[in-house]
Amino acid sequence: MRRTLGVTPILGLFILSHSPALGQPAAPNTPAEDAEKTAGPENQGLVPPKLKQAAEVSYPEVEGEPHPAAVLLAITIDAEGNVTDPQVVEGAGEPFDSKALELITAFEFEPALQAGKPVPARIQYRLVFTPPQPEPEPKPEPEPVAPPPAAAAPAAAAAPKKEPAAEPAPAPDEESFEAVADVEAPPREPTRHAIEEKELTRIPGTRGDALRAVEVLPGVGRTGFAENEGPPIIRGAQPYESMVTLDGAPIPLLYHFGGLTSVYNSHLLEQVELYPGNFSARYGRVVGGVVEAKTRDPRTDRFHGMLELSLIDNFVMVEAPIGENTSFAVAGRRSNIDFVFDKLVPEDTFDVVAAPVYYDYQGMLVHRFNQDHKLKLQAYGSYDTLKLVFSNPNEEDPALRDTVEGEIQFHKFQAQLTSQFGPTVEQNIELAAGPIAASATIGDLHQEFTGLDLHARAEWGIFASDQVRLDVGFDSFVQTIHGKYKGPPPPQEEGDPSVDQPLGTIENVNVEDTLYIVRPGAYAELSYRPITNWLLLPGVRADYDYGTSAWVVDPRFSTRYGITDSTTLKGGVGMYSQPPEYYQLIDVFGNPDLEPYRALQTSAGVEQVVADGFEVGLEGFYKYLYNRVVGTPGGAPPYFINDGEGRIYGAEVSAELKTESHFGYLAYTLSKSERQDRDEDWRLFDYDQTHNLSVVYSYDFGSGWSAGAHFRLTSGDPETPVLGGVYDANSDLYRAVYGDVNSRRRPTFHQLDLRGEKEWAFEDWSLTAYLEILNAYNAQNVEGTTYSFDYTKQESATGLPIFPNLGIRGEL
Amino acid sequence: MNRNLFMSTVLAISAVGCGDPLKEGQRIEELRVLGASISIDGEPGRATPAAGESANVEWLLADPSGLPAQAIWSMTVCVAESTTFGVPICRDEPLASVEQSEPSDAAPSIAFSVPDASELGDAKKLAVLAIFCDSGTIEVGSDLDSTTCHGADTIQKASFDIFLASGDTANDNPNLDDAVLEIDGETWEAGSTVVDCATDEVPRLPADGQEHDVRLVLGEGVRELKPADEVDDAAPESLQISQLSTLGKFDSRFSGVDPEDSNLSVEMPWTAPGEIDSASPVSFYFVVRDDRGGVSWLTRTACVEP
Repeated sequence: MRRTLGVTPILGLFILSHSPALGQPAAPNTPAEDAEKTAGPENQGLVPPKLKQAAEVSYPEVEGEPHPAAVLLAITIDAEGNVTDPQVVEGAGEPFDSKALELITAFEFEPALQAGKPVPARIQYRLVFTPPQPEPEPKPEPEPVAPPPAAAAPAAAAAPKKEPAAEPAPAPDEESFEAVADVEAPPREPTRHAIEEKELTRIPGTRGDALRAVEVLPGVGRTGFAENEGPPIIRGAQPYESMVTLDGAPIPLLYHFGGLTSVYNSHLLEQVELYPGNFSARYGRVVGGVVEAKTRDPRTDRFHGMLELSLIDNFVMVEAPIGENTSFAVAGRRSNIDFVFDKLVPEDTFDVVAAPVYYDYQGMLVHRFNQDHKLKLQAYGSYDTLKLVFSNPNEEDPALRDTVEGEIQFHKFQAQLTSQFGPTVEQNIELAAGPIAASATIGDLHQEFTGLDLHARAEWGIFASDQVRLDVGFDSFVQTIHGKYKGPPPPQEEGDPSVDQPLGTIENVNVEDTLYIVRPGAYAELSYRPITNWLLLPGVRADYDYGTSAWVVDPRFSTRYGITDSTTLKGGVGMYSQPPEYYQLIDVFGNPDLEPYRALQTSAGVEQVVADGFEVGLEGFYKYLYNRVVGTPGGAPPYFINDGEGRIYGAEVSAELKTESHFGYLAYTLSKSERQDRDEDWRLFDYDQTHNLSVVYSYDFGSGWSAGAHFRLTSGDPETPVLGGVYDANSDLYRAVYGDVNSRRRPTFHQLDLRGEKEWAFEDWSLTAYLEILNAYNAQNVEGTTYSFDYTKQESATGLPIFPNLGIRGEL
Repeated sequence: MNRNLFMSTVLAISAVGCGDPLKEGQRIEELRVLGASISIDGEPGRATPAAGESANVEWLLADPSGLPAQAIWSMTVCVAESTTFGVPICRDEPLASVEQSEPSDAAPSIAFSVPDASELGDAKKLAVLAIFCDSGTIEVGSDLDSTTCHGADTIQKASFDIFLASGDTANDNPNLDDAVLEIDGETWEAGSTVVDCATDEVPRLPADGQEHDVRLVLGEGVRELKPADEVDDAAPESLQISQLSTLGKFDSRFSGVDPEDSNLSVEMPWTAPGEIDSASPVSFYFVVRDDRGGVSWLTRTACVEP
């Protein structure tokens, strides 16, 4: 996999120099762009790139008074020493940014060396433009010599060129050159896919939502518009069998209104990583996959602001440095649905008391004590609310009547301290805590609960030798929930078509209770390189769940072997465990005697770097689930039992293209995901998608224009046929009589999303306008079936029609 | 929680008003089952029998002709498993069974005795499982799923849960003794179920597609006070009213009286058919349900004239 910034752990070296020889010890007061620096076994024997030849540079033409300007670039030095993929990290505006991008490719470097072998490395390089000095008065000399124009100090270690004139060359700014070499550590999982900051908000069809962007990666199932409120469907696993974390801590709620938009502003994210299977012992309590969203640090060069207005929502964000070692960012967002909701409501259905509206906010503060210790504090939260009053009970389900209202909010406070103790020990300590509260009323049914959760992690990386690194850690999830609930009892999470029955046909339960969830875990993982290009990763994780009083121990193993510099074989096998959902243990409608359920995961594959910025991969996987929690027939006591199995197998083909002017993702997964409930026959998983193809391409035309497309083709979701209905005299509704579960499939789904963007760059700010069109050719994709009240008639229900989203964004 | 109420709230919004229904439930276009009600020997108003008591369940059927429905049927009563959703499942052998194999316009009913407490165990409810057909031959299977009518045009399978009295908790059927129905401001008395539009004194409504005000005024004693439970304080029952007709159309299929409602007058606009060949009887059904298994109903007739 291509080596890029943003991987944890990132190995980096701070280098400050104003001499030709790079590799000098770092200066203590370098205001360097941040990267955790670690000297792991992969980096021991690492020699960073050295500047060999700086290009001739010149101060660009500017409007107004010339002034110094610094542009911090991220560049890749390939194994031949060539500069590729330059990107502006902290710009100085035009024309400096463009000039810097143009100039840097002419620089020549000696490549980084690892164990004596040239390797690509990504570094940061700050180009400082110094305005030309005014021409001195010509001296009454026979041969007046015009002083040379002052060059933009390349801030390079190369000795400045001396002109044969009386004018001395300006000394390079001591702080103008800094290079932070981030040599990406090989991943600790066989498979890791990532979407970087640059692409996160620009993938067509995702409405700029980073968590939705994950659906373009291989192994991730398609979900309909606002259909899934939880983690994505990863390699045939239920949403709640996977986890989404933000800087390592679970997010209480992922989306507004059950799947409309994620609660965290994507412009504050640096990267989203997907571990579809065989993930590290660092993660536990799930049997599916892991999505790790990483926030970026606030920018440190100057004040920045952003304001975006779109049809769906608006947000504002500001970030700025505070002194030399601290920076902050704050953002807030509000939806626009309520402004038009009234106009969309059919007449005589309900009165809108409070239209649906959502808010979210994020704040962060980063302080670098020194180059070894960094503290990051975050606060974020979300609030969704709506209230309607029905004129009459709903025709399809009279339980929807009178007042229908809902409110949910959470707040999270998160602290992360990363430290480096000498060259051999790194430490990461995280704490995240906050309240959550929700209430909902539908006619006579209602729930309200409040809770507090705490997530803590402490982990250490110890570099025992050049070949050996040991990672150990502890994490814990603690939650208290106090709630009142009057409503239908929870059904089996998946594979039970009766969840679609009207609420009026279901007997309600009443419960008031306080729950305590305590789930501590510990893990250890060894990184061993018997030879440089072969990584072995045995690991083990132990978890305890207070609710089930059960311990589980999960051994895991993965390996990566570099056949060549560009070809890597990989594989993994391991055990994974997941405790039952907390409500499945409440004895009023659950079973306190449930046990955790388990999964065996295996995978094997190959990665190939075809060219710089272009990689392909092929991988096969097999998963076996057992001790699954399933419901009892009709929801009779004990309501839930550990009597289910699952098997998931398939292959993924992936391709990633990332260069300066374009990016693209191709993902095709061929798979089958099946379940067996109790002693019944094997059946398809609710979201089994035999074929899943996603193709994304985006091109930067220059002059601020860019455009992209995303095409999706998937097998239709399975569905359970309805054979008829049985009248329920208690509710005056009909209960569906079902055929075999998931025994037929909807038509193939296909959709094209388009996105076009134009950016106007001004001196200190830029303005961007974008248009995104979801379902551009208005495909009539079947997303469900509508039935008459007695199930004697049916027709297909189509999903989202063509949907434009227009937005405008100003950035300072 | 999968069936998270908040998500249901969101989904409720998206489900409302999405296109025309495939069939309108407030119109009776074929043989329909409209409800069932239990009466206990010696206490006919109570809906929750106790162990050892005898009771009778009667069904309300309707026919699009407006006349009493002619049907064949078969039904059983059994002690039910403590399921919370889906068609009830019998725990034991049936307590009683009855079959009507020749078409009849009598109200289908079944009498039974509730087992004593030792036999009931921890059972919380009984179930009546029934099949109604407009014609044909009934084949009774091992369960409702395998029971059918051969040669029938319309088959209706139905279930009715009977909640057993527990401790001091009992529930009555909604009391409609003092209920008054009005149509266009005039009191609407119950008449014969078999109407002769040439001679009978019933409301006469022109087939002009116009809307008529139908109002159900419930008496103060229509509902009880529900006892407090783990979640809620004591509060009046909520009532769900199903309104149906054999001609024309009510604006909505359901009306409701919520716990906090003090106004027990329920308006149900009804629109007459646009045209009709000759004067025809039309039957109206108003089925009132509380939220604890109690059911009562009122029926009215009228004539629609060209």
